[in-house]
Amino acid sequence: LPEDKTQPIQLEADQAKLNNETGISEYLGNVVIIQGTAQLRADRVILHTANNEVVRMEAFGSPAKYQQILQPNEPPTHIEGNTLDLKIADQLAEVTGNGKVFKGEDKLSSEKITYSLKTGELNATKSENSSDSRVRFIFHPPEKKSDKSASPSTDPKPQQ
Amino acid sequence: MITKEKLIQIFKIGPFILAAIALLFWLNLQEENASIQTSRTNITDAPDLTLINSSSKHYDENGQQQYRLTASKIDHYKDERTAVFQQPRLFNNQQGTEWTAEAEQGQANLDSDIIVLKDQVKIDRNTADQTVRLRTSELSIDTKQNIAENDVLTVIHSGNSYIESKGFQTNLNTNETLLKANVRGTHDVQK
Repeated sequence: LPEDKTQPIQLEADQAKLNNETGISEYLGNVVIIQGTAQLRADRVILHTANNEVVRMEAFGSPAKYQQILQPNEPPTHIEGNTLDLKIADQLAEVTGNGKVFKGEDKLSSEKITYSLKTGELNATKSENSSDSRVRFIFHPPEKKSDKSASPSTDPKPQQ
Repeated sequence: MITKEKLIQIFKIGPFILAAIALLFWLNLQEENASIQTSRTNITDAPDLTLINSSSKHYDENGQQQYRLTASKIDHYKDERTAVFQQPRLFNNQQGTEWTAEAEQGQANLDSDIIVLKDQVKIDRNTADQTVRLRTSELSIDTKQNIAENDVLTVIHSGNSYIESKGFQTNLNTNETLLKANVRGTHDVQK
């Protein structure tokens, strides 16, 4: 949700390596990072901070999983992959390796996916070096409204 | 019912009873003190040297000051080549990084560079743009390597982040820190 980024970031891990000089910290083992409705779960996460603010999260897992409710009253958007590169300021998620993006029943799988958390814009490319990997997209059109609501009386009358 | 004769009798022997009780109490007190005394003199090596409100500077072999140490009291035990500190505070300022470490108790073996700090241990580390505050119950500092380390609950505050773990190791100069287990943290986003 839009207000997610104003929420505190909670994090848990088995181990961590911090370096305040470089602003890069690495979290290892059962890593869970939560901010509002956004959740990241991975085996390893590298957190980049600048001026005490988190600007980027690189997650590695089998797979690394990210989910967030992007719009009120909508199901969460799920993003998975061997590597998730989340750029906080741009609200951009780059997935490489067994990439999946799904929301409700709609699902896209591809080797590489770039997904805008802001606009929902999506770019999927297959892997250069493996011939059989293709982009697969399962899309469930919204249920058709019943015929009654589509009767002529509601159609606008053509101007005479 | 207490008759007049009985009252007189009580008044006669009463003081003796009170005196006997007081004597018993005094004897018991003496015995207790004695046992404390003997337990204190059981410490084979009483400190051969005690410093009160001391301040000392420690240098490495190149003449570079490693740290300054103050303490409200230092007891030096010759046989064990050990020093025991009360309210020790270490100060270090190298390469633009200043850190202080303090605690209620401390101990150092004079043949090593390790100082162990206990009880309300605080490390504050300041650089130009940041202060890192570390709190724990016990840790050891290698004053040569400038490495602080423990295996107990430790809490670190830095900027708007709070993080805790069970056990840590940090280089006090470069501030590279390993949190060993059970890492939990919160990062407050600046509104």
